[in-house]
Amino acid sequence: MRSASPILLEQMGVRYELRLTKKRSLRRSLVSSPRTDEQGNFWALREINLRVEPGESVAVIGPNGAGKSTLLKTLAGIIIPDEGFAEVRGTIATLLQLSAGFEDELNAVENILLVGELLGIPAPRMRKRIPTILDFADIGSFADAELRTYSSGMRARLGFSVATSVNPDVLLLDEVLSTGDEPFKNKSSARIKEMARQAQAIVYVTHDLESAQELCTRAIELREGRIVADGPADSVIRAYARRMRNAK
Amino acid sequence: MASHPASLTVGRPRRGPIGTVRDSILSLVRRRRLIWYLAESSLRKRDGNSLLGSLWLVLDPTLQLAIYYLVIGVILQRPEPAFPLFLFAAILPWRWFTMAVSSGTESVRRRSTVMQQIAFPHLVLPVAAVTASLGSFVFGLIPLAGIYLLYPDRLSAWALLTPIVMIVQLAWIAPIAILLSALNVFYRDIGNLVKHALRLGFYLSPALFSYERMQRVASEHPPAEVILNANPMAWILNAYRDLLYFGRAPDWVALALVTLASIPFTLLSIYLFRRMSPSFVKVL
Repeated sequence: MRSASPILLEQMGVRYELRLTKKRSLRRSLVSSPRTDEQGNFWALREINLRVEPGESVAVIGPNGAGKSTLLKTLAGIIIPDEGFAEVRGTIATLLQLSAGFEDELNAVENILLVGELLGIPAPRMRKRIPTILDFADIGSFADAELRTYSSGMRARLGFSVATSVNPDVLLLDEVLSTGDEPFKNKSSARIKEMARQAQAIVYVTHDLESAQELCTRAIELREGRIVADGPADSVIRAYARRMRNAK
Repeated sequence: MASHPASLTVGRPRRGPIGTVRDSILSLVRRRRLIWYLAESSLRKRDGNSLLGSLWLVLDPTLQLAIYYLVIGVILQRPEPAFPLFLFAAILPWRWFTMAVSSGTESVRRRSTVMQQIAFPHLVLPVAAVTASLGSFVFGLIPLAGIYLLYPDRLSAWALLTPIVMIVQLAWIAPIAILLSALNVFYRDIGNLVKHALRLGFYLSPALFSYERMQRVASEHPPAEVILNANPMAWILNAYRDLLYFGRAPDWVALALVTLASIPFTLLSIYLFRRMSPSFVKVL
C-alpha cells in the first residue's frame, strides 16, 4: 500500500522526443548535452522524487528552462511521465493560464459550463456556482454577450473566477497572482489565499521569491530538470537568491 | 481538511487494450456535455460574424446543390428525372462526410492551447467535430424537405428509415475522424492530403452520377470496379438514394456488412488514439 500523500513523485522523468518536435534545432542550441540522451531524447525532468504531505505548500524555483512548468503540467495530469510515476490525489485546481478553454462564440454562462466540463466538474455543481462566478468576475451586463465582445481584462477576470470557483485539494499555481486592475488584484489574491488555506497541498511555480516565501512552507530548486535543493522555504530561497546575486 | 485519503486523480496505471478502449468510451459518456458544447460553439463559429447568421446552415447546402445542378444538370445535360432530388439525396450525406473528416482531422491540432492548460480526455475533440458535422447535416434536411415540395410523388414512407443509414454513416465517419485527428498532430501533411483524398473520393462515389452509370463505366476497367465497390461511402450513398429518391428498400445486406466492418475499425481507432494522445501535448 502506498501512502495517501496528496502528491507523490518517484523517479519521475519527462522526455521530449526531439524527432517529433519541430523545435529540434532550438532545443539543441538551448540545451547542454547532459539533458539529451543517446537516442536524442531531451529530458525536461529526470529522477524527480517529491512527496508532499497534507498541509504543505511547496514553492518551485529555478532559472528559466529548468523544468518548472513541465513539473506543474505533470502534476496537473496534462503531461504523462515517461519514467517513474506521478500520483496526485483529490481534486486539482490549476492556475496555469487564465481564460483557458474559452470559446469566442459562447456567452459567459455557456463558457463557464464549457470550462467546467473541460475541468471535469459535474454540471449541476458548476451551474450552482454561476451566480458567484459572474459576481466575482464583475462583468455586469456582459454576462449574456458573446465572449468576442469582451475586453481582455474582462476575459481574464472571468477566467480567474472560473478557475478559482472550486476549492481544490491540490492547488497548482503558476504566477497568476496579478490579474487586472488594483481592486481586482486585491480581491484575487485574497481568493487565492483562501483557497490555499483550504487546500491539502499547494505547488507554486514562480520567479517572485518574495511571494514564494510568503505563501510557502517548503521550497525546491530545479536546475536542468533535476531537484538540486529541497527544504524549508526560507533557507532554500535565501540560498538560491544569494547564488543568483553572486552570479550576476 | 479531509482526513480520508482522496482518490487518485493523476497517475492511474496504464491498462491493456480492452481496458483502454473501455475507459475511453466511458470518458466520452461522462463528457457528453463537453462534446455538445464544443460542437455547438463550432457550429456557431462558422456563422459568427455574418449578416445572415444561422441561416447559412440552410443556405450553404442549398447553394452547393444549385451549383452542381447548374454544372451537371444544365450545362452537361445529364439529368436523371427529378434531378435536384437525385443530386441532393447523395450530396447532402457526402457533404456531411467531408465536413466530419476535414474538421475532425484538424480538431486536435486546433485546440492545442487548451490541451496545454487543462487535462481532459482528448478523444472528445474529434468526436465533437463529428457531432458538429452531424448537426450541420440535420440542418441540410430543411432544404431537402423544400425539394420534396417540387416532387411530392417522390416522397415515400421509406424516407423515414433515413436515420438508420445515418447511423451506418456515423459508424464510418467517427473512426476516420478519430484516427486522422491523431495522425495530423504528428504529420501536418495529413490535413493537406485529406483535402485531395476527399475530392477524389467524391468523384469515385456515386454522388453526381448514379451507381448504375458508374458501374457501367467501371466494368470496362476492372480495377476501377474494385475501388467503386470497396468504398463504403458508395454503399451508404446508394442507400440514401434508395430511401429518399427511388422510394424503395435499400440493400440491407450491403448496409449490414458496412456496419459490421466499421466496428473493429472504430475500436482500433479509439485504441490507437488513446496510445498516441500522451504525446500530443509534447508535440503541439
